[in-house]
Amino acid sequence: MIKVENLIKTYKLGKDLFYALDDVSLTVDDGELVAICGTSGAGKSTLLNILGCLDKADSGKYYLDDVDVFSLKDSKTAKLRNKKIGFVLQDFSLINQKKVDFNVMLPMYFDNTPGKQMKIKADKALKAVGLEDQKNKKANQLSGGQRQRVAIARAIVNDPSVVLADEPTGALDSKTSQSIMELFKELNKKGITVIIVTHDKEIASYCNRQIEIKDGKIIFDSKK
Amino acid sequence: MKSIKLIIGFLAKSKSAAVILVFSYTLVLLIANITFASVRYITYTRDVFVEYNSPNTFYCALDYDPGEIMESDKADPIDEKLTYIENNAGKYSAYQPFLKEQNFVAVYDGTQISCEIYDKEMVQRYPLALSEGSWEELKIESDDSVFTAVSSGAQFDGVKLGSVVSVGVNKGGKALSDIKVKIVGKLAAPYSVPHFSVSGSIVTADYMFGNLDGLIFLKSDELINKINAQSSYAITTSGNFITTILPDATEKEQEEYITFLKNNFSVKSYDEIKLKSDEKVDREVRQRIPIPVFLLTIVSFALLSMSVLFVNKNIRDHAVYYMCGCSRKRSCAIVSGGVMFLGAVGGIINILFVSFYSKLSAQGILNLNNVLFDSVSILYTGLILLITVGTSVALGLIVFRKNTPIEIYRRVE
Ligand SMILES: Nc1ncnc2c1ncn2[C@@H]1O[C@H](COP(=O)(O)OP(=O)(O)O)[C@@H](O)[C@H]1O
Ligand SMILES: [Mg+2]
Repeated sequence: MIKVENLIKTYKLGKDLFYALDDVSLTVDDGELVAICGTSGAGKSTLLNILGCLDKADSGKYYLDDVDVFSLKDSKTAKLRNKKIGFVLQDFSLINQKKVDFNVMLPMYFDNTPGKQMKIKADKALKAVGLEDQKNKKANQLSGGQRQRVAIARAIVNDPSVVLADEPTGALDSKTSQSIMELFKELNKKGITVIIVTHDKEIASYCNRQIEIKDGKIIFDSKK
Repeated sequence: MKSIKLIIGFLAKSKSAAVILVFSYTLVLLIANITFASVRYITYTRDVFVEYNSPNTFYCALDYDPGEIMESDKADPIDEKLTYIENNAGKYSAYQPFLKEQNFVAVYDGTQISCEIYDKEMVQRYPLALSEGSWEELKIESDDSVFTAVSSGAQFDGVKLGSVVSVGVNKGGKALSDIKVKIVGKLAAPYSVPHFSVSGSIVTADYMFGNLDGLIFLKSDELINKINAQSSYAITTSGNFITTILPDATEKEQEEYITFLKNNFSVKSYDEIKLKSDEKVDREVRQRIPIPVFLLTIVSFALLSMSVLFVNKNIRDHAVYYMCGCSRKRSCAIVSGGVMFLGAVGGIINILFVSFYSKLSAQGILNLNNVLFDSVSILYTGLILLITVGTSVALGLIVFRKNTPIEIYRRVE
């Protein structure tokens, strides 16, 4: 379960403080499929980065499965990202000149999974996204849709409880976008919590719950 | 293992740059090492000459016609000439024995070695440091045809002190090995011994020494006969030698004797040799050291800027690693590992080279004549390595840490 309370995140803009997140509180239960919507610059990515333990808020609290995330050291936070969270970004964020299976195995380079196990798990994840026959290609030899599938395979390879996606379909055509969204729905059916940031209403409609952010504040939550 | 793969990934970003950098750093370190070793050798021979000789030492060179020597049917014509002149020199009251240097090529354990034959006085004059054994054990007489010798060079590293080995002289392309030798001492590095092969209008101390991979014997008729029995032209006597004049002799007696020497030889005095050696050391330091220092500075800066380049090229990857659960510490370790590798390869190759030089030289694989490699050379290399690689790693990490992953993440996005 994800629970954040009174998150504030500011950036310095010259002498002034800019509130990227202004008192955000939110609870996401296990197994939810959530869309975070809003215009560009609303603070969606800022929120997602904090939920993904990539960044910390200036103030407020974040509990991930009852663990107080902001109180953890760098190495513990890294472990949390490694074990519980999978990321999917708009530009796929793959190591382009490396092979597909290296990219999928990447999270296991930072834990103690033995080499043989790494291969087995990567194969399983690639199968789940329908790319088992592409694993020996280099990432930059694939199409956009395929790359995003690789990114999803990497996100799920360590069996995370949460998958966070920041504009995952932003660089894809609408047909490919639909198939990627179907994939997220499938993951969600398997019990993974999925949070998708998007500014596209159609994409948001795939999700069971929609949250809208504006100027760093939550202005709408379909669950409430 | 996983980290090593990621470090290789770090370097693979710019394979050709990495290869060129590693290669040039290795090469420049090697050039620097060899230049330093050669300048240190010049300094070393000057110091040894000055330490063991006194102002009444003279280096004399016999003027002979090489053609006449070649055509001579005598076994060792130079030795005969020197002996003849020395017999006449004995009439002067300032006379002291000539310290001659004779050598022969032999075969030991299938490899060619050099052997020096000295008079007892030579060994007393130059009591060079031994790593094992003692000069006292080096005897003129054989013990039931077993000669004693002090070894020099890595060839005899595996031979226990006191054990007896067989060496032989080449005879018609066949190596005999019926000279039995008991090793009673081992020379310490550098394996440089009195060797008078060079003379000239200017004489410096380094002319009077040479690298020896082989054995040192004391001269005896028995030994000479034994060698000559195997091959009658085996022994080469140098036409150059050192001698002293008796300090107790009167000034007039000394002058008379010096005149005698000058009539028979080209003579250089201790003061002259010392002066020319000092000049040579100065010149070598001034002329030869700046180039490798300059090159070292250049490649060190290249290493430095390349490190920054490599780090910059890898920052995006590390943002992805961060996302996948790589801690900041781990990232820093991978980056440092990659940068360190760039310099460490050259350093390790050089340290290995310096450490194994004596072995290579003993095997005849590589002989750079007149170089001094020892633990100080290894220390220098290590120090240079530590400074350049240390700075690169530090700089790399500063650049790396300035970019927090979350900012990179935004850029990636
Ligand atoms: N590192 C930063 N420095 C300054 N301003 C930032 C930084 N990161 C984000 N912002 C600002 O915070 C606001 C929210 O950004 P973001 O969360 O990326 O918006 P979006 O909803 O488009 O994902 C934007 O106005 C952005 O300019
Ligand atoms: Mg955004």
